[in-house]
Amino acid sequence: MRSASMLLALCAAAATPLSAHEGGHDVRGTVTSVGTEELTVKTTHGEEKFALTPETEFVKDGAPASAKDLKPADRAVVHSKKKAGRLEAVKVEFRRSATARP
Amino acid sequence: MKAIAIVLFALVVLLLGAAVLLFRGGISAKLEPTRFEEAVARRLLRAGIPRAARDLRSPIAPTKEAVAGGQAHFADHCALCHANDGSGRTEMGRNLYPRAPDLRLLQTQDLTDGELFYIIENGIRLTGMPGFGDGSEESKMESWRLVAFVRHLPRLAPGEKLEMERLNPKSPEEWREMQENEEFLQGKAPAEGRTPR
Repeated sequence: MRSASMLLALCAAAATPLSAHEGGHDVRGTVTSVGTEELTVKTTHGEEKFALTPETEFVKDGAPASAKDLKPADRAVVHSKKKAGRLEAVKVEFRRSATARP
Repeated sequence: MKAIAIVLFALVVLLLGAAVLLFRGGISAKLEPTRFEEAVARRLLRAGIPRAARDLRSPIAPTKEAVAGGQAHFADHCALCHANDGSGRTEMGRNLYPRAPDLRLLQTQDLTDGELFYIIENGIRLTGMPGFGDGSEESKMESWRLVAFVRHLPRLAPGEKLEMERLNPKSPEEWREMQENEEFLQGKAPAEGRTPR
């Protein structure tokens, strides 16, 4: 009986959804600089740098865009993940600020 | 007598080989499946689908509406493991054993419509793929629309992928965060904090 309960407990533990612990975080801020490989965003916590990769998605005003569309002073939401000790931008959503240069 | 010895020897070699494959790394799902395992699994997969199912033809035409229906269903039920673009690059998909396949590639696109339908309806034993079919006509039509969408995946446009992101299941916290992000982007809210992922 006891071993049956232990087996049940083991099965229940095995069925618990797993978390992959990818890390990273999402930030809201203003773009201070953007290059081909790195994006810097100013938030209330200071400046944060994100690596840009060929897989990074850019979304401007809800539509697909590219890194070239992103300009300093744009408002941006950066979704990132931790990889090899750095923060990689997975998706950058942004909107043109009135003060941003076209 | 000699024949029996050869058969026994072959059996022992096969069992040892299977044991090595099975127990390398214990029960860990972290190991990458070997090419041999992948090749064997793929052959077994196709062999395990009944011929009658393999030859099934879709009763629905791959119209824009059918693909859109499959797309919405995929975003809601399948994208958690397979990703909206079918690449399998999700936390779940990358950590399953075997990994969620890239549905855009030939290994999936080469399957017949009937095989894809059978897999969606019945799942694949000893993988992360559940069987979604309940035998009803409604469920079958839903699976056929998914087949139409899987065929469309290699040509999925970035705008379609964004539309799917809006349809992906979200927790109340994720909905709230999405709302806050939108308000921030519209200039209605100041920048604040960061949200751990």
